[in-house]
Amino acid sequence: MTPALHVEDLRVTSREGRVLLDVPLLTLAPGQSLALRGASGAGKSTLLHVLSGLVRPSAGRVVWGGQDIAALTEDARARFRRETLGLIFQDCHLFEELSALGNAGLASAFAPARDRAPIRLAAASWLAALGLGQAGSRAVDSFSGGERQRIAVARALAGGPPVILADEPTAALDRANADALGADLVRLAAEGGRTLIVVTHDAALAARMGRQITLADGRIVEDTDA
Amino acid sequence: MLDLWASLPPALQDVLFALALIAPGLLAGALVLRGLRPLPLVGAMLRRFAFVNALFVALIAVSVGLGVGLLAQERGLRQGSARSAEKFDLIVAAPGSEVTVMLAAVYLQPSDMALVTGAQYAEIAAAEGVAFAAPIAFGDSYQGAPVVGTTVDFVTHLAGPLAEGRVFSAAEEAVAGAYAPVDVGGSFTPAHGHGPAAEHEAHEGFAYAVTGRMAPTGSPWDRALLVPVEGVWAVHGLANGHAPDDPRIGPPFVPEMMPGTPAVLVHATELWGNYALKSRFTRGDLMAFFPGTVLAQLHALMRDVRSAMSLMAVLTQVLVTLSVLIGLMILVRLIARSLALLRAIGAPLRFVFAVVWAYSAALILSGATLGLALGWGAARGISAVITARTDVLVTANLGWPEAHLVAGFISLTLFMALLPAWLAVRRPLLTDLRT
Amino acid sequence: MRACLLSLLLIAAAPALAETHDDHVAEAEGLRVLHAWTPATAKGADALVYMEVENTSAAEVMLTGGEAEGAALELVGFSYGAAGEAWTVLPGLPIPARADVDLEPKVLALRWSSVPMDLVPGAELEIEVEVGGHHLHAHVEIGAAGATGHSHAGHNH
Repeated sequence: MTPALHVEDLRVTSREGRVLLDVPLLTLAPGQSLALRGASGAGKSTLLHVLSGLVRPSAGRVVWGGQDIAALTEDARARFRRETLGLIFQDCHLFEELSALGNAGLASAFAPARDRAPIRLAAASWLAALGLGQAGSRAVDSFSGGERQRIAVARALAGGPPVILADEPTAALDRANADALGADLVRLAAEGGRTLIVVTHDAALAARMGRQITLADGRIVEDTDA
Repeated sequence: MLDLWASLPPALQDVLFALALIAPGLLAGALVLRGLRPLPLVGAMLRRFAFVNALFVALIAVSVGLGVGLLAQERGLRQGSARSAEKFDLIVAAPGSEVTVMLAAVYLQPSDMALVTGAQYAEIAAAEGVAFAAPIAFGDSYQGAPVVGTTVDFVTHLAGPLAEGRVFSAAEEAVAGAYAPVDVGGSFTPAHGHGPAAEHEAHEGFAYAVTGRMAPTGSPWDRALLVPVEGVWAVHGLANGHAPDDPRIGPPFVPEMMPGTPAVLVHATELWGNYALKSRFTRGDLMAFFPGTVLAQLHALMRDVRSAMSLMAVLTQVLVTLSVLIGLMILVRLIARSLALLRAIGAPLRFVFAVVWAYSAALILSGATLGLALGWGAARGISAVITARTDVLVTANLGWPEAHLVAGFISLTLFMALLPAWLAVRRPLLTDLRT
Repeated sequence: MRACLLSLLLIAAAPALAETHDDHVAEAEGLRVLHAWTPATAKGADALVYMEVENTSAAEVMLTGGEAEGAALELVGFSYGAAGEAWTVLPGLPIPARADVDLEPKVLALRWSSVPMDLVPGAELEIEVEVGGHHLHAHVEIGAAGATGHSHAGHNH
């Protein structure tokens, strides 16, 4: 079941005491799509990292489906990411020595035994859905930038997560590839009733989201529905 | 407990000791990898940094090979030299240095020495319990191969049935060692002396005909040419140990007609006989000793040298282990981004730990295996050189001491590899993700 | 006066001195065991006892073994080959008339298997040597663990 998001009194400060993020309240219904926008250094990626449990906030609560991940240990947050999130990075972060299928099914390496085969099957299926079905066994260094990002998307979806978080997923792509990937991302998220949160400078991608939040100096300055 | 251990067969003790050595490392591995499958991922990461990994493996292999080769080589040399002396039960000679006589009579490294007289030889040969007493008269050579005067009993005792031809039956005949430089049917004129100072013309006009070839013995005797002792005396213009009209060769000799011999090999009829004969012929005018005893004493002296060398090998391995550890910590930085990705997409810390440890273990095990092969190859190569130089057959094979050394090294380094793995999972995730 | 007293004291002490000096010699009917010694040995290990056996009688005698603390001592002979060092049990060793035999390291010894206690340097133990049908009592000096000879081998009695 797709969890709802409830963020309350969230603060992230740097070691020097500078406020990086200050969000008194942020909620997101299950299945909603959200674009986080703002200038560089506004705190978009920091917010995404906190929502994914990659960073622990200095104060506040980050509640996904009733579970406050800010209070969890590192291993518990890793488990949360494994079971609930699919992460997509700007820089793909693929294992160059693995094939497309190997990368897409990466989570099977550390999944419980009963989940390994289903994850690999799902990975193959997602590659096909993203137009890479025949190329599963090829090494990833033979793919174009757009194809590599699609492999990363397949990896994010292979575990069947109800939430997708993407940090600048189209930033390294040309216009055509960016538009195609953006469309696929939104479609696949909607088809599965998944919550989708993207950090993006891409206005076209942001426009596809149901909601847009603009940050500046770590604070939400604008929050609009599509 | 000690009694139980002492009651076990040595082979079983070796197996159990090897298992005990490698157990901590394997146990650590079993605990780390329990329920996980990091190996396909580790394989991919190893391929990514193939050159650096190959350097590590080579470093480990050289250090392991050094220790293995040292141990195997030393044991091969010790066993080879001991094997050469096995057939020499008891040597009787004029009083002097037992080591000098042993080197001359057993290893054919001749020196000038006083002779056992004909009367003394007759007393030895006639003593109760003596199966045979064979003179060993060295001093001549041919193309670097020692020419040694002796009896048929000695030839048969040393090498058993001939590989080719027949044993000598006349003073001008000879039997060649397995690798001596004259073939059956050939002939040779001995030089007086040996080495660069040998006088090649001293015995011109005299020739031995080779009638047979011995089977290999693994000793310097494989390169020797054995002739009747009467031939040696005759070629030096001496009486031949027999009455003038007596054409036969071999004992009994006429004491007054026997010029003497540097050494006599005595073989007893009974197991205890050699010990009784040694006591009997250890006196003012004769010296009797067991070459095995002298060699064992020499090897015991060398044991300290061996211990120092073994210590050096162990120290080298410890240093390399530390270097490997430091290197692994540096390697972890190379793969930090990949590890951060794994953590980011939800891999448990235990899995990431296992990936790093398995990566290290792959390098260690590959290096140790290659080192074992390298050490064996080096020992074989050096043994071949020593065999060629000394004619003592030295064969270095891997044995339990080498297995124990490698097992201990693997176990220690696998255990130490837990440290870089622990450090890897403590790295800042986001920082590594952004590199 | 002082010299007389000193002489008296020395004479009085002589038997004790002689006993101390000669208590590593045991003899009977022309057979003598001299300078018996063994290196220090840990409990449970095998101890090798060395000695000189003199036969001043007119007949050949057989040295067959010995006994210590109720355990039999085997006569063993040393051999060395590719398989390493080995001690082989010998049924006996003849000692010709007016001859002697040295039981010395890496040649001959009496072996006491699995000694029941630690043999510590400086201590002594009592054994019996079976030779020529006699059981000669002998004091065995226990030397250092790596000793290769009797503490004062070579001197004459």
